Amino acid sequence: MSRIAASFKVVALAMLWAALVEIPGAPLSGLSLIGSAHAAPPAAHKTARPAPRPRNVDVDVDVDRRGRGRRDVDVDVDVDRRGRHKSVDVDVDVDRRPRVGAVAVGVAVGTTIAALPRSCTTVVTDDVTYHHCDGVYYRPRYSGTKVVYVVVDAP
Amino acid sequence: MNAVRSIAFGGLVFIALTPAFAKDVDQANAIEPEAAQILQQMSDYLGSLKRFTLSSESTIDTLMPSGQKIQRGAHVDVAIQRPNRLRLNRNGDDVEQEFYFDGNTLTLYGKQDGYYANLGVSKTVDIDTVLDLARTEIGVILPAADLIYQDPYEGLMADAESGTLVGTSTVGGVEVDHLAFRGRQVDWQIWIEKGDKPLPRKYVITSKWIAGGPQFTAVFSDWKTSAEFDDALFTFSPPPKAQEIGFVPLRGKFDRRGAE
Repeated sequence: MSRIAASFKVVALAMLWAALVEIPGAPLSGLSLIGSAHAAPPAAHKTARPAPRPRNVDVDVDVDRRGRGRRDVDVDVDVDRRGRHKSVDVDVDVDRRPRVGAVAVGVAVGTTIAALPRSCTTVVTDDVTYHHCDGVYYRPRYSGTKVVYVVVDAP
Repeated sequence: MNAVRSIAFGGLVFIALTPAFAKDVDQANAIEPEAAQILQQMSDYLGSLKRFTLSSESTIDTLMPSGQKIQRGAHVDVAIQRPNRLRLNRNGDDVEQEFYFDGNTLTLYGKQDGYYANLGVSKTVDIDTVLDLARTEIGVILPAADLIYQDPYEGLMADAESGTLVGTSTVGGVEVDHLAFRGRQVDWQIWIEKGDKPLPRKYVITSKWIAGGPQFTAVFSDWKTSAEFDDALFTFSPPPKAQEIGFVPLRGKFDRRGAE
């Protein structure tokens, strides 16, 4: 299936998306959704997410890893559409804070979960909100239109 | 007496079904030119609109592990100004989101959480391009995108294997043509206004291979085909307490290519 999908066929699924999203990093079994106040709905609509539209899109990713702190990722996207060749630079705003300090209990930085564990406190540092759960710090991110939580180093 | 009634009833049902059944067999693997033409007219008309609004009232079936179907709903308000302005508000069960596109930046703002994220593009692009980029770069599929593309026909028909004009119907008091299409994964139906404004009025998608055949249904209203907008409508101004959280890039390709 292609862009058929594009919106109506999928959009309403967005709210039920958690179980369908491919999240970078393996979810932690110990941090499952059970009992979480933010838990996703019990079951996702089983319609598979459609494949992207059948368009010839080459993506060149150029990640600038110099410097510390906030890093912007420049993406060169060549969108070849019906013979017209468009060169588009995309700036996906990725905030990768310095990876310093150890994360407790061996949870890999970058691990992403769809909902927070049960017991968390909220910590605000430099106007950034962190969720502190069982020794692990998370920051919220949008994965698609769904908020997910990514393990980060202690602020 | 009962037997007679049953036979008579059965006969009626048979008669009623015969034309449709015969048609179904005939058209099993074909897209009727008439159906394609009506859809094309809708597509051309939507593509010709420079500034328009619509509202969508939609529901979707959610299958529980027990097999129970639960229906959830959302209301979406859409404002489009071609070539490169877009605004969508989606309010539904557990969802209160706004989407802004001003030609360079697509913003998703979740009002419940007070979070927002931007997809920035280094030069001005049109709506089609940002819809594609949102899907491929950050996995965001915008509400109503099927109808927002410059050429909706292309996307709608991409997987269609058969299509038929079911007949005339009414949606919200508007006389419409009722079209039914079949694809490999889904069957879908669309109701298109008759006359010189061939606007979509209703849209149903059935996930036919899923037990229970869950459906998505959207009814469209409040079409304004020559709206006037204030440019501020398309530009996101973060409320004081809103926090930018960013998107997770899709498919982890950033990490793959840039691995240290």
